[in-house]
Amino acid sequence: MITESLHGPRRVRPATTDDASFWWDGLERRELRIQRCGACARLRHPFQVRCPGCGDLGWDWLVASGSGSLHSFVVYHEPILSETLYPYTVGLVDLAEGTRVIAPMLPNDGSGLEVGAPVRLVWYDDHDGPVWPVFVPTGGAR
Amino acid sequence: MTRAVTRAVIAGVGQTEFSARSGRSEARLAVEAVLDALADARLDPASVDGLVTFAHDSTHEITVARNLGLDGLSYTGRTTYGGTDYCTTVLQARLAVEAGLATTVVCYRAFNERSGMRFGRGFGEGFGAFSPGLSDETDQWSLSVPFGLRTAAGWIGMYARRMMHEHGLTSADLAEVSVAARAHAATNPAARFYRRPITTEDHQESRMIVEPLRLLDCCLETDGGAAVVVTTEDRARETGRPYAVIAGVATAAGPDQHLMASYYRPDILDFGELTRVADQVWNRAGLGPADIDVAVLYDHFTPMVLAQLEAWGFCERGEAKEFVRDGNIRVGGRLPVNPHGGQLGEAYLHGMNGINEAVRQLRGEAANQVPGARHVLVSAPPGTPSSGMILTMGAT
Ligand SMILES: [Zn+2]
Repeated sequence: MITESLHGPRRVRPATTDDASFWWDGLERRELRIQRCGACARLRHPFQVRCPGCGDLGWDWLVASGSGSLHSFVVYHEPILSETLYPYTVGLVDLAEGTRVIAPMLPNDGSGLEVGAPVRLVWYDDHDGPVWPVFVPTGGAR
Repeated sequence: MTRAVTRAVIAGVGQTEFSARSGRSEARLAVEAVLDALADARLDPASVDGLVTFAHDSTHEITVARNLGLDGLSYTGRTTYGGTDYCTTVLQARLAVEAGLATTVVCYRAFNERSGMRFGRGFGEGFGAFSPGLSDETDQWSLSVPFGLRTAAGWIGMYARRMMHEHGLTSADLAEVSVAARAHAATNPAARFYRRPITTEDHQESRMIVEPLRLLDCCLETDGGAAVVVTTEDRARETGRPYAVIAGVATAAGPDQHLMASYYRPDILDFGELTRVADQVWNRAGLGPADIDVAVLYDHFTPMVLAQLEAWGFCERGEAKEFVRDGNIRVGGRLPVNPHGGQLGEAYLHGMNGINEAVRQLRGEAANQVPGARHVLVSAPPGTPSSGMILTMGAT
């Protein structure tokens, strides 16, 4: 279990087009989805309409294993905005599958986080908003 | 019928005062800036037949045209990508003039960005405020904003952290960019930070906004307007006023380009949009880094000044932190950068005040004049489709 409550903005699923809805639907099912070309199986994130490799318009997805490494991260202190708890940390994570994703990180103050270090996905659910993907250092914050 | 291609040049630049509270509308700031630029060019406002501004600008071209008392416009245009696209205003104006669509095109940008809608607050209250309808843009922001990555300081901070990891960059290294800008602003009466220099210690003691960026790594939100007059060389010559030649200008997107968060390339510090701009501008101008006397670099955040020095080839990748030391980027140094104080010291105006500075340097009219400046580079940052140009002095 995560012992620290997640800071950051109030958790809200944003409005998107149909191109993005499968990804957000995945989060609601505790699945971090990665779009996969229906013809050549190339993975892509962010989602897009057409495979940049073979040009096929068909696609499905796979569910990320949740393991990865930290490509970069920032720790927010300002601007102070409503419905937001500070500090909070946002990471850029290299997924084991080869794509990269922006995600919240714990600990909130970013302490101990290191670029290049292994991280893993956990699902944050305090019943006060939608379940949310969060990455934590591997071996830490259990 | 054949028509000789007439060269488009920059005949004048203008601006309002830069402040934290203009006390008047954005439309009024736009009109004042345009009129100031036309006065500088010694051109009658009635001669304007084209207007170009940013997609983000709140003042329509037709509003400016009505206020100038024009009987119409033959060209209107908008640039899409905000501050990274500021040189594209001049590119569009030049294309319009050289295609014979219009004769005198004024590019402008005006906003109450400090007293009104502050960009520094990002998508804070009300995600999607910048794009009311659902689109590919809302989809892209959906991957960033709901997780709290919702301001420019955060988007740029992500690159900065990676520079620290890959290049050994430190926050103290960034201080010199900010200290140099404030030193220049301190002796520029038009600057918001006129007579307010800072020290390295001030930078290092300034509070964290989005780690690793401190307050003094961030530009200052500003109310104001700026404008640039592009016209035919013939008309510019007639005015008797010195004008600037657009030796090369380019706009470009890079591979796997996104807005601000171009984070999905194998190497996020390989800024293809800006190297594509640089390659084209060097080629069109027939010039290289050693030829540049003054560089106007887009300093919304200090790390991106380093990225521009590297992308334009003034130094190797990862070496800009050494390049900026020892007064190298100050007036009197090896490559004076932003002698007006830039957006860290003079005003944040989506870069447009930097074009004004470039023209003043060429004319010998700048507040902090670099003696004999002949080739001035004007560059936008990477991360979003970028732009840049080199201006040189025209024969009068
Ligand atoms: Zn494919």
